[in-house]
Amino acid sequence: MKKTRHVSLLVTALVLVAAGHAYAEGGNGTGGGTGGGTGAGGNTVRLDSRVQLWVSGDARGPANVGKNTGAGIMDANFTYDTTAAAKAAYGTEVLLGTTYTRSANQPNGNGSFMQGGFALAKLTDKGVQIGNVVDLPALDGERAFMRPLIAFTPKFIVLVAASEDNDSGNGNPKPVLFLADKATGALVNIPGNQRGINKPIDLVTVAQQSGVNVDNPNDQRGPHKIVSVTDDSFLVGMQYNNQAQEVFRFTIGADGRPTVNWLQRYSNNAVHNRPQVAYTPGAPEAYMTAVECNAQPANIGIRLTKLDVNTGKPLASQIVVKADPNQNRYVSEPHIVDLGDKVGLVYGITSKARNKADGNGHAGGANVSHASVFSKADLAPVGQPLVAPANYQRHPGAFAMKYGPDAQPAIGVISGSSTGTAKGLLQVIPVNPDGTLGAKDPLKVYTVSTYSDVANLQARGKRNPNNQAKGFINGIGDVPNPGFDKPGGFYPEVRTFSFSTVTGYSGPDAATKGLKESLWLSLVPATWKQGLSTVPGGVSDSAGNQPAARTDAPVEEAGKPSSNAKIALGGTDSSGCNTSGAAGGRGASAFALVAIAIAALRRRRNDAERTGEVS
Amino acid sequence: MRGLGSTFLLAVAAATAVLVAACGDESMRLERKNNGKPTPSDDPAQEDGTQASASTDGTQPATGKEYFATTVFPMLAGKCGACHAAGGSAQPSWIANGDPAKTYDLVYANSFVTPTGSRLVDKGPHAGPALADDEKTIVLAWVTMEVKDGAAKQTNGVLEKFGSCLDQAAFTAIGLEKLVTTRRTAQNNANAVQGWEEQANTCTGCDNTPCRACHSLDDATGFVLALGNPNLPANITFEETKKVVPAYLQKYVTTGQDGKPVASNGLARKSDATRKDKAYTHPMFVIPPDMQTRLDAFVTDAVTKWAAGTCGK
Repeated sequence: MKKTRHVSLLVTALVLVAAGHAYAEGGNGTGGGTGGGTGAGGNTVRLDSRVQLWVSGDARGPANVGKNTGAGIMDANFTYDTTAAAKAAYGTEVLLGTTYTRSANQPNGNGSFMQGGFALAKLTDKGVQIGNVVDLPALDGERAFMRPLIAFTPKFIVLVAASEDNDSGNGNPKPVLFLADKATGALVNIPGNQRGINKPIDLVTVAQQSGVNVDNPNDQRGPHKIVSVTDDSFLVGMQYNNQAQEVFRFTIGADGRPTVNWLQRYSNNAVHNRPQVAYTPGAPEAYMTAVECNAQPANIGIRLTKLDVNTGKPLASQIVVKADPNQNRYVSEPHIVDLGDKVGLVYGITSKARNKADGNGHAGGANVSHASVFSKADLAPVGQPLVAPANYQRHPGAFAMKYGPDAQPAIGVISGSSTGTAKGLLQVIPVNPDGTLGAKDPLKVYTVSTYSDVANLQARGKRNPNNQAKGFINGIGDVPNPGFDKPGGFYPEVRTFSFSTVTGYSGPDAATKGLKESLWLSLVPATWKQGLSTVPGGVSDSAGNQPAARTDAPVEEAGKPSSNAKIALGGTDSSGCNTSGAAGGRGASAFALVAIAIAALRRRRNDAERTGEVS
Repeated sequence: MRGLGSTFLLAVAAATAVLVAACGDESMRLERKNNGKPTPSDDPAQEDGTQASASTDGTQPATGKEYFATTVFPMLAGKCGACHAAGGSAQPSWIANGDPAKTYDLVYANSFVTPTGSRLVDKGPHAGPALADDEKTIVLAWVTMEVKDGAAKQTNGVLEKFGSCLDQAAFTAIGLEKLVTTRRTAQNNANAVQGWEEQANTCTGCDNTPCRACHSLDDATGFVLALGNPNLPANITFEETKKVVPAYLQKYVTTGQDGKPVASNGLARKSDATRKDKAYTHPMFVIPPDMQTRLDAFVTDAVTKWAAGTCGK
């Protein structure tokens, strides 16, 4: 009888794993452990992330990455369609879009291989449908299509980038605009664009034609963040001439004609600032943040500004995080997330180890990520900063999201590998009802991608001026799932996803050879059915094709932070069980597997009871 | 055969078929995925394609320890013993040849088992392969049994209590804040690695960058070194280093065949791995001899105190 139980235990555990494999392989097997079926009594779900290659970069550009070659695919920005018509169709599909700087196979007349591209995909109730992958026309200039941004109107795909191919023609990049048809992906003629369909329209020129005063219109300007105000109107955070924080609003007419509503400068003392903006649809105000400094690394602090969304007029503005060079404390890269009546900032506190900044902030010091919350009413801090919310401290991104069965507000802190060889990870930081931040919980670490590369390969060779490079990682929360609660639907347990496009190696060959970056589409389950407990899983390119693996493991612990889930700054807990993220990520996955094993054990017990055996 | 009803047998047969189908596909997929082997200095914690040993000898264990002896130990010995058994090339030496009971103790001594999993499962490809999925399942099924048995030993890992043996002054004396990367150049390619040279100032931290640049509370990297970071508490590196999860302490200390703490030489081994790796992977770093001497002294001091019974109990 013991032999029987032993065999039963092992076989059942393996069945569950096999079922997981079947699930991971897109249903090649029919493992009896998965799906609603399995779950007889089981209500803990292992949430694998859906990660699939979207745009391959391996064959793009010169063989070796160097100055002005690009890195295959890099600096991807992405969004999903939130226009009214799109929302009405969320029950069946969600349009996803991404734009990026791609490596062309031939250089332009300025010796640059860096050109633009975009890609579309649809998230349907059956899964992910990859759509058009479009190489934008080759443009002139060393910086032909940099730091691109994407948005949707009811008719168009909006593509904004910094390009030297503009009306000034003086080698300074400026914000330019392409429009493409949302249905076909084909570029469209932009009314008022005198340069033809294969050239973008210069948005500074558009601003001037719209009656907006633009200081030094031929100087460098680089857009860094876009958010929708209405279905056809957008805010863009923009860096001016490596010295000033600006935001502008522009609107796309029904015929595609752009107008710039206003362009406002908020600080003239902000080297290398990359302004970020956040906006709650329908609100009269928006929020902007950027570093404030007259040298790099940023030596003054982080400015948070409340602005009138209709005029751009600043309504309130202050330094909310202060640098202190005398204490070797500098700030870097604030990201802003909208939290309803509050905003959250995720930023770096960094140090300076050498006087070799090259104007780009790199000074040999070390970053430590921080997260803070501020009241929208008076920009006052709410609670204490959370230290090291990211799993990797260099260049993490952040976004607002809802999390769990109750759709609790949270900040998604996403980070990736400095060497390009390891996973992208998402640490979910819950926001409490009073606006304070919850703990860094190892059971809220989700794998975003098998490979991630943050400012490693993208920075190889770099380019002029000032050795600039980027290649950071970010995400978007609250992407609805058309398959939710549908029999046979895509991730039927999952209500919303966190969405990211991650630049990273296409596989182990690329990782070991250091080839190029490719673009991965990543969907991480974020909210799910009420009453369902979950554990983070791994990644798969077919996750969600079938209902997730279930177990009747102890659910009461699955979604709760452990008692020792706080980062212990300067100390260790008595159990010696700390919670940091790497172990968190892997530990959480291990926990999922343990849950499955526990299920196996319980099945053994059930089998024993059914057969009259005694354990 | 009482209790083995036809339904159960059918389930076993079906399950076995599913397992064969699914694991077969998975193994093939993983083998393909693993064509590019991990580089010497990488440990990306990804799966590899090694075939599972899912067999059982058919005996029924009454306890987790018995299950370990009959099923887990043979698998681990076959998979990991070439390097991690006595006389093997790798640290820690946690497999006792032909001795499952001793290995069981060594696994606990190394804190490889926690209530939520096992580092044996978490460990990705290193100089050797990671466990395959079905091998992980065996380990986790065993962990489950250990938990069921009361998990009495799960806080008895030698390393979990070893932190009290670390001397902060000796740790500070190592001078790890001065540990920096060394750019790979034609002049330092001692292992004749192809694809070796790195361009100055065009890679992430490859050239004279303090290790704290990427290891100040970067828990995903498995190593903590924030010394010299003015924006964190001065003692945070020392305190964090006491932890076994993440495996920060194991960069310094592991256990020997006798279950007692010994130097792991983790930093030296990592340094050596980076000296055999390609350009633009984990940056190369070289531990100066005097720093290595102080590092050894720090570990020796702690191990000596443990042996004397003055700490770690």
